[in-house]
Amino acid sequence: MKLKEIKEPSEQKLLESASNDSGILVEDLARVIRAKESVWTEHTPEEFEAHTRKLLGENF
Amino acid sequence: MKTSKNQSNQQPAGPDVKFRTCPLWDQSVSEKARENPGLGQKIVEFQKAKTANKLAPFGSKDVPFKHGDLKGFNHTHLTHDLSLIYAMHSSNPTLIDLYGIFSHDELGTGQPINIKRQTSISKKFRNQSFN
Repeated sequence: MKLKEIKEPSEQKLLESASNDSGILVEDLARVIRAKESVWTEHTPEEFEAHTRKLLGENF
Repeated sequence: MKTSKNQSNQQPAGPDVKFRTCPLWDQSVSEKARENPGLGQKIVEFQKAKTANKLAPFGSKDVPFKHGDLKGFNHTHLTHDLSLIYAMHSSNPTLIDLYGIFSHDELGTGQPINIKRQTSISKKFRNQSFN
């Protein structure tokens, strides 16, 4: 397994555990997570306000 | 053609401005809102202000970073310590990319200034890319 790009020990442990459970290679899991982390979502002003209210819930 | 005073001051109709959020935004906003009541309202005020006039500064401290790795990103203070980080680009519509809400300490812009932290967080911002 190539874990060079995973620097946080906690992240590495979590990925190894998920890999054992799912049978998916650690590097594939890491790639999916990184892709998901970089996705932008576009909102109109109204959609953005709704997104903020939903995101914060009772903390709004 | 004559236009009334009100009409001449109006912004163009339609979604002139769109907002883009990334997971870093969602994460930082959720975290900060838990300990800062009223933050959600401030975010909506920012949205309304930029929708009405994207070029007008939001508050007195809406300025771009001028030095270091954070250069190119705008920030505006929502509270004494928390800044909303964003970038504005394109036209028709203008896109306002929202990176997150961070403290001076997290940005490395507090006292003393932390250059390594500025580099690290700016890298995180730049890694948020449109798919």
